[in-house]
Amino acid sequence: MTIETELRDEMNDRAAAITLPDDPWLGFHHREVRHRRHRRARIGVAAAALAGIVGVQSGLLPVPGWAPTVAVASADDALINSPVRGSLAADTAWQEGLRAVPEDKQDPTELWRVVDRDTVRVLYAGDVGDRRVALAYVSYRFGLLTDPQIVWFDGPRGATPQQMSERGNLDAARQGASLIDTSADGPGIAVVVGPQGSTATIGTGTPVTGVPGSGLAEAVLAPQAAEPTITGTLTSDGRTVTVPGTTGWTTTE
Amino acid sequence: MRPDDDGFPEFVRQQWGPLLRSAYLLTGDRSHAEDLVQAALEKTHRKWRKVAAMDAPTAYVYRVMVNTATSWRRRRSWGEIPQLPADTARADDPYEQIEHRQQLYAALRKLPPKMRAVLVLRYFQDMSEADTADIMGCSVGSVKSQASRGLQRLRDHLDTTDLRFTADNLLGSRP
Repeated sequence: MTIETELRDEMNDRAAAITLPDDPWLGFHHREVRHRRHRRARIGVAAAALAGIVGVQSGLLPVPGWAPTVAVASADDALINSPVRGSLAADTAWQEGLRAVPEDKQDPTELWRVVDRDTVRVLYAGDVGDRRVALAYVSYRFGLLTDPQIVWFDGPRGATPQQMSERGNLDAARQGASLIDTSADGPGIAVVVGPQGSTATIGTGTPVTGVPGSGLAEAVLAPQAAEPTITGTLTSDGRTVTVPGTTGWTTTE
Repeated sequence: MRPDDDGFPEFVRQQWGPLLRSAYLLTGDRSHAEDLVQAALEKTHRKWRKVAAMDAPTAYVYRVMVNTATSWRRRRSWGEIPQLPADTARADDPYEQIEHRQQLYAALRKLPPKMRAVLVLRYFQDMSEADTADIMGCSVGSVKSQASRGLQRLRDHLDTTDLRFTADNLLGSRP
């Protein structure tokens, strides 16, 4: 078999595993309207701030945490304003500790700093199998630009906040997020978090659905010989959407 | 005529799937792929009247998507921290074929964005060299050379991996 044929087969198989929404227009239109609204707001703010942009954006002038900025993306209010879910939902001390964990991000030419750790909001924290997992809303700033993100963290079961590591991040405009982490050598985990009021499902061979309306589904997954295709979904008002997320599959010899 | 009756909703319904699948192969991540398709379609929507009159509106949105993918990747280089499968496998492993394909995919993800885009357009979308060049905004010669170098890099990656299996097996270093 030639490399071209192998590559074609592999790409076709990978692509075929992507699930598609019944009507992509609805989701696209919803997000486009939101983006358009925020773009208009940004243009207004940008015009007002134009005079100070050059000095601040270049890093010559420091920006205090309370200073108004231009958001390069919006956040999904329903998700961000939902109560904390997970087995550590009542452990406010642990959640407080997690606020110190998000790190500034070095893009090739830009340093995106965590805006204000007081604004870091834990959306989910809990132990699943032998892992401790958390999801938090974190806003990053580069000069006058802010970029709200939802960030996954993980660590060993029972980990302190300082033992947690960042696993991945998504635009906070998302309705929800999933972390699906599997392994060939041991159990994996899957967590789907959405707004309270929605019902979360993990699409394994036998789907795992969380408590209806909780916006949360958690599962310990059996070892997977090959990288599986597992998706998280959220159902609300009879509409089901696939939740984007961070995935990983590992194997050791 | 309502704004939504200009044919764009139908265009989105028809193209979302093929675009998302290509975007997934370009980015290696579903959520980034969705963001990429959304961004490309929003840019297309802003010029829809002009684009709809083109001979190939689909080619236009692919061009926007590939261009966006390059800049997107630069901006989001810190975004995801994917765990790739370990670049090892065993010759006597019943999952050898699956792992071989995993290696191929992992190697594809390591290619530079433009080189990967050429391979996706040529071998997933089955586009001609001329159509690929049109979308990439480069010459046919450049497409030929990017595709050739990309395939060679994939071969090199697989050869290196295969050599590693062989050496490991000969040395009996595996249980």
